[in-house]
Amino acid sequence: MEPEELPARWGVVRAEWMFHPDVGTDELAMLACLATYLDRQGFCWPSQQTLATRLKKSRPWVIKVLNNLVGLGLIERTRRERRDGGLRSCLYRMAPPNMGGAAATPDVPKTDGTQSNGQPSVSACPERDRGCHGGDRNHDQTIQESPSLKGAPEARREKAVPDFQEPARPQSLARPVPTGWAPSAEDLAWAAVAHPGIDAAALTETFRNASIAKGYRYLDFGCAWRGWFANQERWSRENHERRLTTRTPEHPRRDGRTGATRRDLHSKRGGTNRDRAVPRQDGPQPGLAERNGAAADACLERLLARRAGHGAAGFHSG
Amino acid sequence: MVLPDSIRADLAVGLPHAIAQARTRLEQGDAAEVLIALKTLADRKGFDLPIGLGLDLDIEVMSEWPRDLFRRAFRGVWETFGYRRMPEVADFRRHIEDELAERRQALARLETMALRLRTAELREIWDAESRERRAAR
Repeated sequence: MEPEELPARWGVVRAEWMFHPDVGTDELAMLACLATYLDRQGFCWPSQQTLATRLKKSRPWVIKVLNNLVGLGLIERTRRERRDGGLRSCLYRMAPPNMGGAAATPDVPKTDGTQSNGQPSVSACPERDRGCHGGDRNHDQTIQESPSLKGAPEARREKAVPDFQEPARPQSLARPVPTGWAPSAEDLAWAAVAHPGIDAAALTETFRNASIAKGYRYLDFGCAWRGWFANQERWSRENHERRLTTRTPEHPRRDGRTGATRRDLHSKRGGTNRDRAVPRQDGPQPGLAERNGAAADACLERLLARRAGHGAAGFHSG
Repeated sequence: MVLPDSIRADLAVGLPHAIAQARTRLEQGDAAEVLIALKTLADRKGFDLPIGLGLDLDIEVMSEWPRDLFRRAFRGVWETFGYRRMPEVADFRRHIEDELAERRQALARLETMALRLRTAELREIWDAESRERRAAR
């Protein structure tokens, strides 16, 4: 990850995890990583690949450790499916802290030693184990809602609030993307410089439609829109690497992301339309039926020839 | 063990019919139908069909299943589709595994019973011949 892409978010590591007899370094690393993705309600949904990348481990390792954590009852995992039946990343919820509290996100003690509900703070670890004061442990910002430097006015006002204070504000300032939203001229200029190979207009339309369709809410639409560029770059790079390592040119392996529009976006960069050979539900892919028809015809011919006594028929064809 | 004649007669009449029925229930499906079904699924879900021998093997294996079972398997995959790739033979088979095994076991049991009956008959014949040879001495 490039230094400028480092998000300014953080998570809370509970001392009780370290006191757990079955939590080792692997589990602790995973919990800490998940904690940086938690939203205010204690949920997060990073993909296994994201977790593997962040922790510099393999996906099997991630799966094993997540299974351990689920088995230990430290996280709850819920599978999520898209409307077309494909799998999305799992939804994770941190188990409530083992201190009598009910919230997934710890009720942060104020600096005077009481919680926000006025009760004396109770911790699973000794008082001296606290590494920071209460104001430092407020996690009141949803990770998907990182305000950009030149975003919405609300976001700019929020930036002015010192980090150590509890900002007095509504529960969420995130808003759905308006139907007619368009990036600012500055955003477009940035895109032209930073990602000249991506069609900004097409990506804007995809961003707007997908956000509306899926109910995404953002504090800063421009920042979110920029994030999509980074994702496009990453997906393209990952696909390229995967194709080089695992695919033969005539038989690409598929993954599950909806990629029709992304393919369109990348077509101007010289990528092939099969870079992201993914299922589409919104209509036939160009040439797919013809390709499948040709493959089926060839297969039927080979089968019939084989059954007619030409034993090796078709076994040399590709 | 000697079976009563009435049971043996019933088996002689009913067993071949039962075996024929069990074989009918295991009759192979149609490769062309399997191919059309896979192509339809691939087109609908936006996948490329496998190419070459991989597709041939898929078709060969699935066309060996009874036609009604393949249709049931296909319907199961279609109804519960949640794949990021083209479903493979095992994905279809999962929907009919028990039924397919039950049919194959039923045929195997019937054929075993027929063989054992035939063995018993031959033993009786050989015993009778042996007794006749001894009596003749």
